[in-house]
Amino acid sequence: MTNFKSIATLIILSLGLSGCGIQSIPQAKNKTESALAEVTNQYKRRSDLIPNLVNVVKGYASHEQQTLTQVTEARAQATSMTIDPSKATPAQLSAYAGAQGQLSQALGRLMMISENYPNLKADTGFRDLQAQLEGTENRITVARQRYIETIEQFNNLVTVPPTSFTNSIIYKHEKMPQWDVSAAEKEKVEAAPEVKF
Amino acid sequence: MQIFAVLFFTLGCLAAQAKNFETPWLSGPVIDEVGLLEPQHQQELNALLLKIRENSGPQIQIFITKSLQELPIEKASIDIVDQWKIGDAAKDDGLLFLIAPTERKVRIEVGQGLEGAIPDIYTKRINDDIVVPFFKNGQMSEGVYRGTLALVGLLNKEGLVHLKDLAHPSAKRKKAGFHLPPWLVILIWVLFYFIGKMGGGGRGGRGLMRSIAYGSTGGWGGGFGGSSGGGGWSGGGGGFSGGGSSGSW
Repeated sequence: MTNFKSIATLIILSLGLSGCGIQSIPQAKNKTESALAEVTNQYKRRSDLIPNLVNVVKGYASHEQQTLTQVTEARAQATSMTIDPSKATPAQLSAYAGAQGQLSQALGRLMMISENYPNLKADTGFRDLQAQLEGTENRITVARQRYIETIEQFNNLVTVPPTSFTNSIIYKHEKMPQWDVSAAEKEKVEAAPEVKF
Repeated sequence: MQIFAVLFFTLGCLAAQAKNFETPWLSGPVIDEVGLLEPQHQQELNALLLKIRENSGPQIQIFITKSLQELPIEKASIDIVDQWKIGDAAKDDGLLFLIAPTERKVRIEVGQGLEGAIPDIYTKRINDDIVVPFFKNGQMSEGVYRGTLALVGLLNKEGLVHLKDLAHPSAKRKKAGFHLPPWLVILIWVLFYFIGKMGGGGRGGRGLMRSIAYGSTGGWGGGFGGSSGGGGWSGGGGGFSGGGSSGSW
């Protein structure tokens, strides 16, 4: 009888625990880390494309020296900053996001001036790089959006009962700051959605 | 009364979150909401894509939507694949060919597992050099058809689709009872050859490609019937990370 009782308690306890955040809070934390790793991975991919891009543009538009230098410098700045997804502090994250935002702006200017050079636009190498860059920018957007969603899920577990009770007793995690999208990119992200009933 | 209040509240909460693309039911490899495809193209593509999937090839999905629901095509496209989860969960080999005639936008969304076989450069070339020129010319159905065949050609070259096996089914695959006509295989090869050749969008190359494409239109007869719908077509849990490229006309 006692045996039966203890087994029953065990089952009830484990059922209860699985619902109250014992597992889901650490899982959500791991998810935010891998989502952040994906974001940094895609940013890395972008900075790997830039040297080739700068070289191709240089060939056709060498007197756009200033814009080219800005891109190169912004890239150097951005690549000098690396973050460890499992240990990054909010300050590190916002510095990283800021540097990548700078690079986005510099790249945006570079792509804009390239419109003025028909020969450059017709160059196969440039076309290919442009396609890769567009693809990478889109991957960054997707990775960032997923990161934002994982943070939201984690924060919900940590702040919304009943899982928040488990957190305050066992894990004591703080709410995570949301990924800060720099002002220039904000409108791009917010341009679309419309709330429908 | 209270029940209504609760119901209303939850509905309200749901609506507040719904800023994603609302996808229709995944009924088959070709979903055409605006009736843009000619029946023959529709049938052939349907049969080809089903066949590829049956032979455990990639899951290729064609979706012609009547509206992007005021979303950018990149956002709509990732929402669609996130909901349909096309492609195999382990291989992530889904591929979405999204056409929005109302907004005049087109996008090829490539699953994570296919990003090596179909890099962004190639999706861009297929869009710019095959699909968009046909669309500009008003040949919508032809553009979708050729674009899809070009994608299949790329996958064939990478060994992810085995056109030869599809055309001449070996004994063990005979049960499906479908033959890919040899001319289709040849056409796919020709299209693929030109994607590789074109590159820079030089006038000459494009013109040649188009003349060949037009020239071959005349000789098609027969085609394949039947084999529509049938066995369940559904997503397998494939993952996407935003690869591919978009175009407009």
